[in-house]
Amino acid sequence: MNRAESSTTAERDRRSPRYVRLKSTAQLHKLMTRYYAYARYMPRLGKKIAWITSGGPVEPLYAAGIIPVYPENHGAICGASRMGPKLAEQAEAMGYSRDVCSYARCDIACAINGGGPIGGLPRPDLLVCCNNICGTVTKWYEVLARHFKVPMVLIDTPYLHDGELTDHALRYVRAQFDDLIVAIENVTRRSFSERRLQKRARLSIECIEAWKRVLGYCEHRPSPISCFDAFAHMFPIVTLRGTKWAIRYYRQLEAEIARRVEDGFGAVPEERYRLLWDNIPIWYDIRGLFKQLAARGACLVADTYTNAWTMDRLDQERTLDSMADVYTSIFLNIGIRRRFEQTAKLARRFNVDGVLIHSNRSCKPYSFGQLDIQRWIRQELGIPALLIEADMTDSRSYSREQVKARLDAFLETLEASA
Amino acid sequence: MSSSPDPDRNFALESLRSATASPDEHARAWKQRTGSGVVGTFCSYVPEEVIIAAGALPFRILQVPGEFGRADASLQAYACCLARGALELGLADGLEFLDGVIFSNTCDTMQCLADIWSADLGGDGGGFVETFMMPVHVSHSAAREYVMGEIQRLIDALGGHLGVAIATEALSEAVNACRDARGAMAKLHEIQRGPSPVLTARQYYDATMARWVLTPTDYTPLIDAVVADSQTLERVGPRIVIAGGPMYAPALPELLDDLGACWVADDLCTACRPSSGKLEASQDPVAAIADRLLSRPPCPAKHLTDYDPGKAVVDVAREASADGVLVYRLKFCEPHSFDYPRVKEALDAAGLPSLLVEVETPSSSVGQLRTRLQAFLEMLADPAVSGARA
Repeated sequence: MNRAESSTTAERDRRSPRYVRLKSTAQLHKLMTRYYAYARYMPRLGKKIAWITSGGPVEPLYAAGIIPVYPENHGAICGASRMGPKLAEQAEAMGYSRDVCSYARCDIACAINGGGPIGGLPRPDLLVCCNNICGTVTKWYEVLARHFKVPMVLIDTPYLHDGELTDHALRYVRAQFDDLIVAIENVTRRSFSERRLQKRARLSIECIEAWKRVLGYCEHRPSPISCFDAFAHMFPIVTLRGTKWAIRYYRQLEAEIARRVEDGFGAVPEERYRLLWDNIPIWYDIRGLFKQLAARGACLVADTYTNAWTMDRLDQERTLDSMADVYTSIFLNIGIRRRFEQTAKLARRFNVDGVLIHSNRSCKPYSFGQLDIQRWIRQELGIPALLIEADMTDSRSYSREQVKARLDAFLETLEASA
Repeated sequence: MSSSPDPDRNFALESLRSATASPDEHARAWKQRTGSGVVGTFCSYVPEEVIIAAGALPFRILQVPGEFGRADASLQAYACCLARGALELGLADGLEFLDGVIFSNTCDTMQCLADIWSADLGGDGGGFVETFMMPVHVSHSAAREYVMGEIQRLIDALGGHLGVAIATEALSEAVNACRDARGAMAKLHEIQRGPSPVLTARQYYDATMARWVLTPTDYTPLIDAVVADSQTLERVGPRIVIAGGPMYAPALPELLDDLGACWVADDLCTACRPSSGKLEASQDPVAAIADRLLSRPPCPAKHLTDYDPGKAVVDVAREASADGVLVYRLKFCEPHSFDYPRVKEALDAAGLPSLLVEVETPSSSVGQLRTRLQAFLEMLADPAVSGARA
């Protein structure tokens, strides 16, 4: 290749940069396939299945040998496979409003009609719903409980407007954890083992620490991975937290990312701007957004979504007590001012130049309050913040052209102020 | 409609209408007359007894203005009109008579609105903004102790803000007054859902909505007067039940009257649902409030083990010998939207015709609503439909 050709290729790469997948992705896909195959076939050998919300306490399930399955993760897969609109329409035909969460619509459609990108989820023996992420899940799981006719355990975690967890609220949450244990014993017909729970808590802490390290690599300039990688690789921290599978996977991933740092490899060629993402990804347009951002040297280096699984304070000695506290205090269960403070902390740590805020029609608790947060970001952090309207799964509520135009204008502003 | 006019009954009905027609004016006048405070609430789960015991008037914020220009800067358009409307009024200084507001964790939207309200309208030198954290898991054995803790927290916070020590005696009095108001309302509802209804749809609306702006001591005698002189309606058209969320829409009951239908019962969060629940007297007023909140028919955003929202609506409709059910829903209301398919399925199975009325704002599309209601009522009058039900 002569110099002219090389220069043309470089120019083309700069205009339309290629997303370089982490090599570990192949291993991740194997892990996901193995997990879903395990969940699908092990019930034949007597294993029990629990469907659980993404912010729910999974450790007691693993401790009891129950396989946890995540309808929200399933919703994300529906979105990423671009089956969202088709499945959502099936739920709408059943009478569910288009204003209902699109994860829920997709999952309910698959639960009732079957189908979907992975052929639906294995039938549950138990439903574990923790409303620390939204009130939507309570209603969603009520629908599932009526459909499958299986017990539903609700762990109601009072929202912490000012961030303070009162003693009476803590006792209330803790008492509901006792119910979870009783429900687990009823399903497994075995006594629950505190010792096994402690072991799972230890693995969970280890997994959380590994995930923190993975995300922490984005402090480097250039950032070796972007949030698009974090979105793709968050599956184990959500689904396999409390297992050795997840820890082993993240060790491998960490090693690969560390090599990228040593090689000076940037997720985005010629990283010029570092951005922070707020809210759930727009699953069906991850590639499009990456390309548009990367073409101008913008890299998403931090996000509030994947950082939600970096919780602290899980105490393996007082496991259930500390779980009641930890699971009540997660990012989506605290007031918007506290959420801004945590976002600001991420923005400073990862040295971001701007913030992209996804106003997500399907996630009201994550989205309402964003306009105040946007103002605080501009005023108190002195960096620009752009709000884009979309839906995490249902592409019918997404105007790619409009988002593209707004994003272009935002990036031009960044360039002008650089 | 009603045959011979009676001063007491007419006075009562006019007073209820006047309070409902312009609740904010009523609250302003009350404040001026008594010199006491007015505290806004956003949900029927906020224990009004605490506000009354503090000497203030509880005022439920339900008005929805025609535009949301100011609110749009802080809350996205896919929030329900109740949240957007309240914020708009607050930002436009339309609620200047309030001495504070108390939210409950009604739903995701209201939960976030409480934070937005604190940020935009509270803060240093701003108003009092508190959230009463009602448990979602109302059937759980630990919920009682928790909700009692929340009531006590509210007593301390509101008392501190208004500069009054809320004594147990005052709270007991408030509990009794609210119990009497609910008891009076229950009697009226019992008559209305019986074979000889006494209220037009608009009167039914006034009688239930006035509850959110009158003190119980002002409200109870008015309802008692209507009950004492309950004159049956001369003509009773199709018997209609309305089920759903908050309904601040006089247009709908007026349409029912115009079209000759009779509103006999409801399962609404602005009418019957919050007025039910354990009414027994208790030595401990905090426990009495907690027990009522936990025993009342739940809002869809609350969870009771094995609760069937479809059966609940069918039971209300059957008890009222309803001919049809209107399911009233605010657009973007997720809890009610999740329940709708089950409610519809149960109504269909019970042979009860129903119509979903979804509104962007209470005043929107009245013309279209009239056409739909007309068609629905004609369908109910069809001998094939009524015969199948019989």
